[in-house]
Amino acid sequence: MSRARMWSYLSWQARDFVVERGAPLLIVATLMSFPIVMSLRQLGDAATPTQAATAARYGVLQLFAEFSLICVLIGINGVVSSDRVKGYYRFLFAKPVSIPRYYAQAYLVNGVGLMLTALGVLGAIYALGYPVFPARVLLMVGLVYLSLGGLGFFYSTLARFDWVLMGATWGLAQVLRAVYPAHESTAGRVLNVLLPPFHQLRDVGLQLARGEAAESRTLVWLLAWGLSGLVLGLLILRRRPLAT
Amino acid sequence: MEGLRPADADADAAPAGVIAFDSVSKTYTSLFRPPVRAVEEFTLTIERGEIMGLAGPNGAGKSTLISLLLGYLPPTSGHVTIADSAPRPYVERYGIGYLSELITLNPQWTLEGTLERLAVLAGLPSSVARVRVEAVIDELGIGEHRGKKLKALSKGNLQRLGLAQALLRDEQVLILDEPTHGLDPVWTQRFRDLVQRIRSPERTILIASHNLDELERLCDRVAIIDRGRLQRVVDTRRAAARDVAGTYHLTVAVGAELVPAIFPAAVALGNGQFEVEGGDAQGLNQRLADFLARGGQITALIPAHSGLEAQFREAVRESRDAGGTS
Repeated sequence: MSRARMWSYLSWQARDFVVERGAPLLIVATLMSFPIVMSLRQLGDAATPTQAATAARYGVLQLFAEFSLICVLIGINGVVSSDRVKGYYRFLFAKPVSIPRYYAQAYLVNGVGLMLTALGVLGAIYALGYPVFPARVLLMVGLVYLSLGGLGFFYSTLARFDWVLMGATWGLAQVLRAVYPAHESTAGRVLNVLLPPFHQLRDVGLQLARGEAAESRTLVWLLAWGLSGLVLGLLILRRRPLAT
Repeated sequence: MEGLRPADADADAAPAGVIAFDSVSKTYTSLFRPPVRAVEEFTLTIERGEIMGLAGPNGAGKSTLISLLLGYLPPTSGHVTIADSAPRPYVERYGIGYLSELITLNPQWTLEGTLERLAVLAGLPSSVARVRVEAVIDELGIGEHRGKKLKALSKGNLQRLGLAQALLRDEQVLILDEPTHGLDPVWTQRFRDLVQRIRSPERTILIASHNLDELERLCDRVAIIDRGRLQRVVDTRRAAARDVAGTYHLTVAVGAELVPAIFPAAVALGNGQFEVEGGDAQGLNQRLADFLARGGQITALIPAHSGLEAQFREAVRESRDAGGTS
C-alpha cells in the first residue's frame, strides 16, 4: 500500500530536486566549467585534433573531480534536516507514509538527479564543440554520491547543519591522518581503518572515470562507509522522533 | 457535501478510531537546559464518534499531546494508542486528517500542487485524487488561489488550505489544531457547519483551540489542561443545560434605577446593562419577577461567561493555586 503511494510521489520529489537544487547546481556547473572551456578555447588551432581531444578529456576529468564533490554536497544537503527544521514533516507524515521509505526515495531521486545533471554538463561541453564525452565520469559522480552522500544522509537525520558536520568529518579525518600517519604507529594504522576514507575519493573516482581498474579494497571501503551512513540514517528515522 | 464523503475505495479501511492516553508524561530534556515537564500523568480516552475539545492556556501542553498522538514524539512514560495501536504504525497504515496550528508547508509550492501531492501521499489513486482535490478546493472556497504559491496566500487562505488537505481522504481520526485561527466570521461559521457534516459515528475528532466558544459549540466534551495536567473534562452537552450561571449580563429598557435594589451586587456596565449575580434558579427568577412587577422591562439576560469558560477559569485557577502551594 505504502510503496505504491511512494512511487506515485516520485515525480513530486523529482520536481523538488529541480526547483530547490537545480539553480545552485547550474550556477556551480557553469562557474566550474568556464575556466576549463576558456583554456581549451585558448588552445584552439595550435593543437592537433588529437592533442585537443586529449586536453579536453583531461580538462573534463579534472572538472568532474571537483564538481562531483560540490554537486553531491548540494544534492544531499538538508535532505532530511530541512523538513525537520522547517516543520514540513508535520503535514507530510500525518499521511499514511513510512518516513524511512520517503527519505530513502528522496535519496534515490537526488542521486539520479545528480547523475542527470552530470550528464547535462557533459552534453553541454560536447555541444560547445569539444569532441569528448567521457561518460565514465558518471561513475565518479555515482561513487562520490554513494560514499559521501551516504554520510551526508546520516548527518541530515541527526542534525540541522549536516553539511558542516560533513566538512568537519572530512577535515578532522585529514588532520588525524596527518598527525598519526598509518605507516608510523599502531594508533595511525587503527585510525586509518576507522576514519572515513574520503581522502581516497578523488583518486579512486578518477581511476573509474579513466576506465582504469580501481583498487577494489578502497572502492569497497568507500562504498561501505556511504552505505553504512544511509542504513544508519534510515534506522534513525525509524527510531528517532521527528519533533524535538 | 457529497464531494467530501468517502471517495477512497481503499479496501484496507481503517478501524474506527479510539484515542487513549494512559498515564502519559513527556519531559523535554536538553544538555544545556533544565528538563521541562510538558505533560504529566495525562489520562484520557476519546470515544469512537466523539468530538473532543482540548483547551488550555499557552504552554499547557496541547501541542505536545498532539505530537505524541501523531507519533512525532515518544512519551517519557505511559502509552498513547489509536485503535489499540501505537500512533506511528496507525498513522503509517491509515493516516490521520491533521491540521497543524502553523501551516508549515513549502512556501514555493502552489496551492493546487500542494493538495495534489498530499493527495498522492494520502494514498489516493490518481483518478480519485483529482476528484478529491477539486472537491476540497470547492468546499473551502480556494479555487481562485489554486495557482498561487503558498507564500502569496493570506493567513485565512492558508488556514483553509490546511483544512482542505486534512479532508482529502476520509480519515477516521481528525486532529485539528486551532482550526479557526485566521478565519473570518463567514468561514468560521462554514467551518462549524463542515465539522457537523463530517461528524460520523465512526469518526473521532480532536479539536485543540483557545476559542472556548468554538469548542463549546462543536465538541461533545472538552478536556481542560494546564501545566501539562488534565484538570477536568467538561461534558458540553450537559453544560449547556446546566445550572444557573454565576453571573449574568442583564440589559434593561426601563427601570435601570431598580436594579441595584433588587440585585445588591449588580455592577453597572452602562447603557442599561448590568452584571448581576446568578445564584440559584429560584432566587434568580424571584428577583427577575420582582423587577418586572415594579415596572421594569428586560431586553436581554445572558450568562456573563459560558459554562465552559467558567469551568476553564475555575480549573486553571485551581491548577495555579495547587502549583503555588506544591
